[in-house]
Amino acid sequence: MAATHDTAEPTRRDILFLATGAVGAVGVAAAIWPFIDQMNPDASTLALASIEVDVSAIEPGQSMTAKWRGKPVTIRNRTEQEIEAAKAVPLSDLIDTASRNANLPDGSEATDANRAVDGKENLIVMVSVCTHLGCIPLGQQGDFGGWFCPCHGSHYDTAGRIRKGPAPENLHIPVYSFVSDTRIKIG
Amino acid sequence: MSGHSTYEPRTGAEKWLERRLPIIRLLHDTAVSYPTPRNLNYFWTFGAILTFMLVVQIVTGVVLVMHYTAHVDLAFSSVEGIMRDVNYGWLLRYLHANGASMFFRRGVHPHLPRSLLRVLQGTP
Repeated sequence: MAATHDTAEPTRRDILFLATGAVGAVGVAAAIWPFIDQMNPDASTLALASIEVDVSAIEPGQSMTAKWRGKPVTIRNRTEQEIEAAKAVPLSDLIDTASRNANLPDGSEATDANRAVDGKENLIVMVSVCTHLGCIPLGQQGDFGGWFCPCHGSHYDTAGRIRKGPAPENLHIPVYSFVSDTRIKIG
Repeated sequence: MSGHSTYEPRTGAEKWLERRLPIIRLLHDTAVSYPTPRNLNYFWTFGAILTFMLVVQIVTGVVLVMHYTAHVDLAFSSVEGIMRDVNYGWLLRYLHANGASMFFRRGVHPHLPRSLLRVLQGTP
């Protein structure tokens, strides 16, 4: 090292001070963060949360998936043919005749009217977790034009009702409501 | 210590604080300009360790008590809630619990005999 240092040139000591200060600042931030984050909503509050979803962008025949309480919720904008196909199915053909709709009282049947909201039958909202062992069914697939679960081969129709395969129940419909024509509040 | 405090407040804020409560002067004289005693050994670090652990315990304790329920039927659930639900609650709980051990075993236990011996020996 040179015996004399220009005052304009940073010394080794300056660099060390700067580096230590920077690392120290990062350390202080990391230490303080938990104390601030614990004031944020905790896991149990978030678990009971509702979400609002904008459905205006879904074209007929398309679906979208929203995450609600950690579960995927699929919202499909059904085409006319899909709605007609669902309505035409007699209850006796269904494996599970319960509507599994949390918005309706227990014991309601799995008619297409009970799987969607009157006046907005094109939009169907379901928790896309297969009722067999919990895989995610794939949309626009399956022998009935609805959903197909690739894990064990459960086929759901266009109203999300189980038609073929090992699943015991129709896809569950969560509590939801329309806050406007294009926004759905789930939960 | 030889002579008066060598602390000189420089900024306006420091001067304002200095006239009302000379806390910066206190900290400066304790930790910055205090000359190293000749007989210093590692036992002398435990006082600072104790101070740090006290601050840690107070801060984590205050934060934890905001999530704790002090009712005999609800206390256990509130601690489970801290562990599982509160963001970083698990960290705060273990910091406080192990901090208590650190406080006593690493702070008080080494600090006590050192201080007692010092007092009993008398000052030069």
